[in-house]
Amino acid sequence: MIKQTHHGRNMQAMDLDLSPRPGEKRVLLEHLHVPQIQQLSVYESKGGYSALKKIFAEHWSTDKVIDEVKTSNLRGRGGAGFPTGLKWNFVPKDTNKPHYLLCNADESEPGTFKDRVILEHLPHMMIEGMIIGSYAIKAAKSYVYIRGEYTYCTDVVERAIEEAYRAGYLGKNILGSGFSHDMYVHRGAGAYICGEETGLISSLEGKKGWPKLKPPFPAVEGYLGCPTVVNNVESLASVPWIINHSSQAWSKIGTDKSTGTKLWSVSGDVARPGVYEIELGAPFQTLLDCCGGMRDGRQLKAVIPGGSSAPILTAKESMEMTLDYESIASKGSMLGSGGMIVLDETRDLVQVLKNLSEFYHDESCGQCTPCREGTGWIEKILHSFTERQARAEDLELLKKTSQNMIGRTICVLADSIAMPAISYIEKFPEEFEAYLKSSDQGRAHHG
Amino acid sequence: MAKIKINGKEIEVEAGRNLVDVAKENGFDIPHYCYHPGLSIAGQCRMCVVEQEGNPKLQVACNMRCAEGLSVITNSAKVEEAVQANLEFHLINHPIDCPICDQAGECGLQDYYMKHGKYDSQMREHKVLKEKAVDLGEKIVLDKERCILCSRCVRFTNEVSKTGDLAIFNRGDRSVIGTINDRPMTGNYQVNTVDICPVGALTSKDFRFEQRVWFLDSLESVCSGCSKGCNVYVHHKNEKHIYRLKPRFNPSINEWWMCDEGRLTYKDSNYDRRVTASQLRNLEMPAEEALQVWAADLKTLLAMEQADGIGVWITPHETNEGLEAIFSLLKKEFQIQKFFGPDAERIQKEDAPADGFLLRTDPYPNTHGFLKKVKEFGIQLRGLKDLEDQAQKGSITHLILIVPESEKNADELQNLSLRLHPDLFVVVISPSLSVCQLFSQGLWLPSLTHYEKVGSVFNHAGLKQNLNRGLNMFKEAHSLEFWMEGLHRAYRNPLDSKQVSKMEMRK
Repeated sequence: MIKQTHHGRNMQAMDLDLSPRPGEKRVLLEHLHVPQIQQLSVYESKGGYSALKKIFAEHWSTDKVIDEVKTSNLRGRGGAGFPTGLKWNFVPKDTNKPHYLLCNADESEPGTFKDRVILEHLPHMMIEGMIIGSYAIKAAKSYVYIRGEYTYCTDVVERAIEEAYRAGYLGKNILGSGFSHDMYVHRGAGAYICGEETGLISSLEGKKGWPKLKPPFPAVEGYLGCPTVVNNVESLASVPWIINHSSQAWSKIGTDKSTGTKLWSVSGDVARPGVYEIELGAPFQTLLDCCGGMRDGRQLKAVIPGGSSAPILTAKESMEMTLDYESIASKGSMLGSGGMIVLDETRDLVQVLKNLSEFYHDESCGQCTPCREGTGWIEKILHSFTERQARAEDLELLKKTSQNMIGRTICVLADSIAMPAISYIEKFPEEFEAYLKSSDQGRAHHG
Repeated sequence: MAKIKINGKEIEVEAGRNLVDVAKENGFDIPHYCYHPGLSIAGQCRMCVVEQEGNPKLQVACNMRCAEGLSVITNSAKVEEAVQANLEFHLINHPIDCPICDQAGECGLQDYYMKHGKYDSQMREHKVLKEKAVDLGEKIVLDKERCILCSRCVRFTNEVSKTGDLAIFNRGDRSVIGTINDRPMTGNYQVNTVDICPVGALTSKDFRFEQRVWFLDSLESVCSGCSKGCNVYVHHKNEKHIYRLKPRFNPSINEWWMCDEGRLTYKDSNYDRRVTASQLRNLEMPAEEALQVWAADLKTLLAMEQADGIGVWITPHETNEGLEAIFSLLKKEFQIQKFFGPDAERIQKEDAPADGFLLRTDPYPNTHGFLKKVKEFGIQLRGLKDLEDQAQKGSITHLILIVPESEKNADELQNLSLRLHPDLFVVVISPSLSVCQLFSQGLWLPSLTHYEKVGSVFNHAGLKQNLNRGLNMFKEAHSLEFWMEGLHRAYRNPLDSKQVSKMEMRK
């Protein structure tokens, strides 16, 4: 186990009022407000590690664990929303290779900071979920791949892992079950792409963080060529609750297809930005109320619902949607990671899009040509808009270039700017037109 | 076996084969940059997209293996649009400096542009600028702007040459190929990266700015550098000048590769290293006259039953046909007994890979064939030391040196040239100027270099390979077969005195 601590610039723990807000449904964050909940003894006093004890006491088979998570219909909380139990089930049962569970804590999408709450305050819930997941897929080793900038979180998680070792939840023959497991922390080095599951695997292997061509899929050939499951922090932290309370209890929360609760990290023009746990299927207004409504009483203009890679929604669409995978998808966007950015009437969406395009241009790994070249091109075109140098045909070019990037690459980083770009143009064309018009004037002025 | 369909055509192929290869063999060209059959699959350039039946998303063909029932479309409007768009992405930051680029004429970007180009650039932004003419050591120059980051060269140094020289640094459109800490590239296989570079990013210092590729003709041949027998293309202009060698695919010998040493063997064929006319003591003469001079001296010795005073030096560099001609006349017909040469038996016994890959320790392209012929003609081969002694003592008075083109042969014979008995008559049959110059008092008969020859050689594994066409680079340089035939003719039909006096007058 890792003994080293990081003495670099530590981020402060988020200065938040941790008590629940009206409208929240706290399942994962039930004990968030309990002081020192990041400590093992406090976590245990609130029922921590009872799920793990239950599995071993009741001699659950690995299949039974997988089935339980499968029936809960828990969907991956990292962005893609792939059912967690199904992912576990893809791991071949008949290989001689070691299996690995990787916890994706490389939370780095603009607008997404919901895993940070778990990492800082409820590391043991994630660790418990990881041990259960590792047991289910027969992994003797697991890694927490943690965002490089999350130095404070790294210290918390490392301390928690040490505590878990001391208490016998990690190490050899856990709780007398015969199952042994080791857990490690690996810090990222500041690349967004390493949050993509195969990019994460490459990075963990010590290579450049390039996503891998699929097939083969990680469940068959992942980390070091061995069967590997990569799960998001929140997904894994949901597992102990599901084991404790049963999959039926979990699927009673939320809607038929979107079960359970979801952590939303809300930023932008709301009175009280932060992380809120909301039952899936709740109206958007519920979350907005948790956030204390719009800041300074301004009008809502648009919402980016699921992290900056999600297509934008108009105020009308946002008010109509409920917060679940299906409803948001029906509006042409996605729930994604639950990193919501709320934009009020004063926001210039061309500037917003240009800002995002700078991020994706900077973070493109450069492996696939459409993404490597396209992200830069999009940024340059948008820059010519904001500098009032754009030509009439540039709007169409921007759209066409974006379309040519969608679905053409190994991972979805290209889609992550191309799809939003198209949505901004289609839903707020007047803002782009206004720039074109002022570009015309600028050119006329300069002769 | 598996039945697959490409554009509706049913094809039966070995299951598991790569779709790009199978498509090509069946006349369907799937454009690609990063895919190379000799390297791992990268799937980065995204040029090889095809429609797969039952899959709504376009798929890359390079990552598809032929399996029963696979059905793909390579020529639909959807595919063409994607290929066009991907090519456009490849080109937006490319400098398009074709007029000063060595790759022009054999460039993947140019070729696909003619087929899939938009012909109307919509890119109006500033291009990303990168370093140009970066020195990667003694053999390679890199242009980072021209590079399309297909990673073939990186995979080659990781997977084939195993030198691990190259990597991609940075990310996004700032990505560049380079070496770690700008160290020079290493090893004997660097120039293969130039071959597999689909654009003009990696260029060979040896070929750089030497010739436009569309002026070059190609000849299939076999490398003369060692006993491996790597298959090559000889790129020459008008049969006058050879500009480069390129590896030619042969699955059982060199696959797609060849070594850098072998690549330079063509240099011995060009005019600056050649003897281009027959000469006696620095006096040029027509081949027929030179043969008369030679035949006359031989005839005197043989008539006086002094065959013992005749020595022949020969190496395993020659073709089977050349050796046959030499031994048939000199051994069988003239009964010459003293043959000297490198210890081919030992060389063959000790032959092993020299650098862990293609290059072998046996420096001759036909040791196998040479030993066969030596045995066939019952020749007792003696060493260089023996020859040096006999030449010094004067127990040999007529020495025939059959020496191939490479420089190391001149080094080898230097000692001999210094120890020659003053009465010794030397006939040098060689294409090499530096070899002939060692024996300035001798008779020089210009012969052919390896790439000019027609014939056959056996490689180290005993595989017979034909040199089918050959080149005719210099009018007065001839094959060993020609010289032997000529010698035989001159031997049987000496010129009459009238003709001889004419010759004297000309001198």
